[in-house]
Amino acid sequence: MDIGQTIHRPNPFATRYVASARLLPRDEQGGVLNLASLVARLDALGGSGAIVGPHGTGKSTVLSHLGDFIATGKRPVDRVRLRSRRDIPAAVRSVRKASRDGLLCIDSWELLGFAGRAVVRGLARVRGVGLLVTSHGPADLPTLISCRGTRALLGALVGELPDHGEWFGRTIVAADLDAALGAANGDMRQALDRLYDRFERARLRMPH
Amino acid sequence: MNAADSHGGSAHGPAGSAPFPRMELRFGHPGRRYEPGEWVTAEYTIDGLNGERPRALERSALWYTEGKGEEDLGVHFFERFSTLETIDRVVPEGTFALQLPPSPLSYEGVIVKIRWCIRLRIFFESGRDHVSEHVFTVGRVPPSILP
Repeated sequence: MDIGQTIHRPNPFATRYVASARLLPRDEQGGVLNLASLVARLDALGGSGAIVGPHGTGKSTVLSHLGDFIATGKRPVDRVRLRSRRDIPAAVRSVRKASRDGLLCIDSWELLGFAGRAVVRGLARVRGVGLLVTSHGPADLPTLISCRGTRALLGALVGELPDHGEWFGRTIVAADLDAALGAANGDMRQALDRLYDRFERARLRMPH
Repeated sequence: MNAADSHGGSAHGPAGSAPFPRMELRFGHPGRRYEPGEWVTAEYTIDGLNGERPRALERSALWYTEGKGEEDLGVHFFERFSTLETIDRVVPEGTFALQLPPSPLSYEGVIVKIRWCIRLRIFFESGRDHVSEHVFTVGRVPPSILP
């Protein structure tokens, strides 16, 4: 029998490691968010709120984890991810089907447009459904938390990737993070994409 | 999220809980390299249960894509053991075999990779679970080379 060796070198920046649900929700200093206090703040805001920030700054990550956290507290949670305006009917259906006193999470709230948002907000109010949404800019819901891409946040995200101790400082160095963040203009998602490419180039130069 | 298992496996489970059990898997083939249609035999041991009672064990063989875009995955082989009689036969050690399909072949691309792995997943009475993946190679597609 063969115990075997590591015959592959996973790229830690691949989707399977950096997808929203797989990274911890963090603030712009890189600290892990206290989900219980966010839930308390959501309640204080009246049960609905927006996670606001530019593209690629961790809004969907916060939404995903917060939704999970609230669901473990036995409150019904439904989710909709909008990709285009064609998804507006699905969002309206979701709020109509959502459990009373439940929470509906909507990723990319701004795609609903002014009228779509008004309809969903009105239906949610009538049905007693809370809304938790992500938005690139100020939303017509109270802001629960603002997200921003920073070097500290990128460093913390990279620090939680698989086998970080084995490749950080060698295959990927701190200057790579600076360069990736600068080129991505604060977009964490794009910075992680660039680090994927950087890792891949370095990996292919290494002997197998 | 991940804790490296020994012997090239990777493992993950909920953070902040009790220590992970250690799941080691040995392939019957030198170098873990197989041809399409070939039989894979695997022998595994699970250590560090610390008295925790397993509720179920899943053994599977699957391929998945690894890259920057959308992920894809195909389960080729799956077994679940969840009764008192069967779980004692497969925990803390066991052996199993499966025949590989003709495709897809393992591929080390730049944009996307195709990997095959044996996945062991153990579920405990407490509700937590633990996954361990052990990658192997199917076929002999050469890795891509950057220009």
